[in-house]
Amino acid sequence: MNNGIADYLPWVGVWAGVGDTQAGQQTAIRTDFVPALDGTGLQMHFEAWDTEFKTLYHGVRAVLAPAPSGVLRALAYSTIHGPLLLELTPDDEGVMALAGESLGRNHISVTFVQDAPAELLFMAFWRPAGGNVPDGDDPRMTCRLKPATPWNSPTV
Amino acid sequence: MPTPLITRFAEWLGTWRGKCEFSDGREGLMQFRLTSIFNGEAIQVETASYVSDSGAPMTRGSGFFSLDRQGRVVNNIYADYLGFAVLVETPDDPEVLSLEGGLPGNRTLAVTMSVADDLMTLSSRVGEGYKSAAGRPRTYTQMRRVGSFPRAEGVAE
Amino acid sequence: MSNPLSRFAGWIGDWAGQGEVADGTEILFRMQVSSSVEGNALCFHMESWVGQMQLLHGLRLILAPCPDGTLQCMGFSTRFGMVNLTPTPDDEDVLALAGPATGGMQISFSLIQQEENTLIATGMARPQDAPPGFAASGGTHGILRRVAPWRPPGS
Repeated sequence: MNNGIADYLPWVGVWAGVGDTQAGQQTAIRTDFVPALDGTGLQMHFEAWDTEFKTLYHGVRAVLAPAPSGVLRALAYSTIHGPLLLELTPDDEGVMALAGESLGRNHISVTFVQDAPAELLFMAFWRPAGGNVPDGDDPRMTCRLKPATPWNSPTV
Repeated sequence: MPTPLITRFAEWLGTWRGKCEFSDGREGLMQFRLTSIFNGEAIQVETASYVSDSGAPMTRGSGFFSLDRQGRVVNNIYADYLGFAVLVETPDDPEVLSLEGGLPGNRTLAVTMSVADDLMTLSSRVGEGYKSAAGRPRTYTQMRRVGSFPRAEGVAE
Repeated sequence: MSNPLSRFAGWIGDWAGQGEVADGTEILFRMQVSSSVEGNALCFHMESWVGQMQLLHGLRLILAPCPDGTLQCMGFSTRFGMVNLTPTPDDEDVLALAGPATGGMQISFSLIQQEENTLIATGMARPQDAPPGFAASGGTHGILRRVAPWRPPGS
């Protein structure tokens, strides 16, 4: 199935959770989806921290937008991989699967899956170009993200 | 679940742009951008107006919408030419948001906003004393939604 | 950037660190300082998180000059509602703000630059009708460092 920007608008907002990095460390993840390009695109801001907010393991800012051909692509900057161009792979409703290569020829894969109305399963991995294609057991960054609803409603 | 604030103003989120007539007789282009923050607990409103021909800036502002305990909109605003003010919703038709509050120097700011068919209409008046004077010149703009951003009924919102 | 804001312009960027709230609960703290209102204001966006990344408190402030040149601050707190804060006189490397929130609390908040890339953040809230001499039982305290992303070895 071909996914469009509108399919991801329900994700607009901040999501957060604690998961694991590809290297096996615990990581605190915060990601933010924002409408972009006058509503024709979606901006994604992703941060993966150590659980003490001392080290930003990975930061990514991406804008997902339709190419003139209609294909959705994400223009991105990663603090690890530098500039990226990722392509949206057709997938089921509730799935955003992005893949591409960095300038350093690393293969990058990023997937968000809406597991439940208020839960996104985030998975990502990277490997050197030409490296083995990971099967299900290969290390990857994973995290269950929940909407960052404030702990307390305003007492106004 | 969307917050009560987003339930009420989901149609207002996005970017709006249109011609503006200012109370001092000048004309320009106005832009409003309304963004949900803290997953719908508040809406940030960013405004800017420009000289139509040159694009030179005329006014700029920022503000927040939230709901008080009674469910009324409270609007904290900053505008470079007015300063800071807290506006509180006053009774009006259900589809209209009317706000009023005090400005420095014993002045009052009254704002009326509505959205219908992707058209945002805004009118504001600055009056002296404790009541805004209906006969005073007003700033008036009608802004069209920029882009075709559909309503997001987000789980995160 | 308008002049009254220039002493804080060096804070523009991303900050993060740890702290604790009054009952001793440890928090993760994240702050973005950005130019706002087309360069006429500074925006302070702050989030404190607990446990498994549960958002404890979100605060967004706009600090800008009034037409008379004095600085004022307004914003929204997920705990206290709308806030209207006035800078209190302090040293060059301190931003100290105090004022009421629509939720009935009196808020004070400060950022103190300790080193070039370190800020100390403190926040306190007490009822507006608190009697004279009322001592707030505690507040939020955190140490923020400018964010420098991890780089792979050799990069």
